[in-house]
Amino acid sequence: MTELDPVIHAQARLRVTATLAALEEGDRMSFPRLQELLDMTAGNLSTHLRKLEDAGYVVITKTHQRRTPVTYVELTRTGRRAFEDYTAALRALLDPTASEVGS
Amino acid sequence: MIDRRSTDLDEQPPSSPAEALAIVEREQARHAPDLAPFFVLWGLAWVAIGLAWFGSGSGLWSAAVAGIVTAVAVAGGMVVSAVLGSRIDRGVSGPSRTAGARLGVGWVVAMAATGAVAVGVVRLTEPGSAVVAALFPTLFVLVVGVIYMMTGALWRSRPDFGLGIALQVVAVATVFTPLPWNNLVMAVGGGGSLVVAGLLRRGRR
Repeated sequence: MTELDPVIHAQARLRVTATLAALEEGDRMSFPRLQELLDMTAGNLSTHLRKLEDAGYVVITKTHQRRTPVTYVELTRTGRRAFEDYTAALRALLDPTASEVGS
Repeated sequence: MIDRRSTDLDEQPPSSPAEALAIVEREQARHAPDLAPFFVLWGLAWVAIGLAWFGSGSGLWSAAVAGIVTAVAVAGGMVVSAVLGSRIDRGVSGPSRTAGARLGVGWVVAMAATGAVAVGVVRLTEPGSAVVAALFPTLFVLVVGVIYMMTGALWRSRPDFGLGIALQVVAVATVFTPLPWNNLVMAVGGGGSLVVAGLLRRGRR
């Protein structure tokens, strides 16, 4: 039985991770834009981002754009890898014959 | 109280692997930039421009009217494109944003350079020259066709690659069609190809 990564395997964090993984590697998304796309409250999104950050899956950078503070969120290489492993595990669960998954 | 419950629900794992994959697909599908409006917008602009010059060439209205229609279509297309373009990847920064901005500037430069070449040719010809009337409709279609063929090849997009080849065929057909029918070939063939490409894109989303 494959273990699904518990950090990603929660509805809200799966949505956050999938959204960030859709960006090209090296690209980052502003917090308000992420919030708008996911339709989550700022508090709720922060909570889940903190869990992803603790796992080393996202990096949060605070910067300034024309004197306005902007917070950017980016998937780390570890996070991208974890997301790829997670979706591969899902596919293996759905079709165990397609790949060699340990029993 | 309600907040607490929604957070609990967020912590819930997806009900099944299939549901989890569906969530991933749903979230990621939204991020593919929707370029369909650009195709439809410029396709309609080309139709308007081609019809305007066909009408002027057939004596239905003056060349000044066709010139105004062209200026309005091009200016309108540029304004709407700039607005649409700035909304793509809103809130995203990084290498792909830079590449996207270069692509936008690249289109403007390519069209401006093509226009400048056309103006240079006009300078060498008599007013009302058949060379100019034959060259203008085909020139822009040719350049746009080459760009789509190359970007389609680079991005492994068969529809864009096919569109690029179709536009080059239209460009050649345009220059070999007698005046003022060449404008109609450009309008229907070139503008029509762009509109169809835009609708196909929308249909696949």
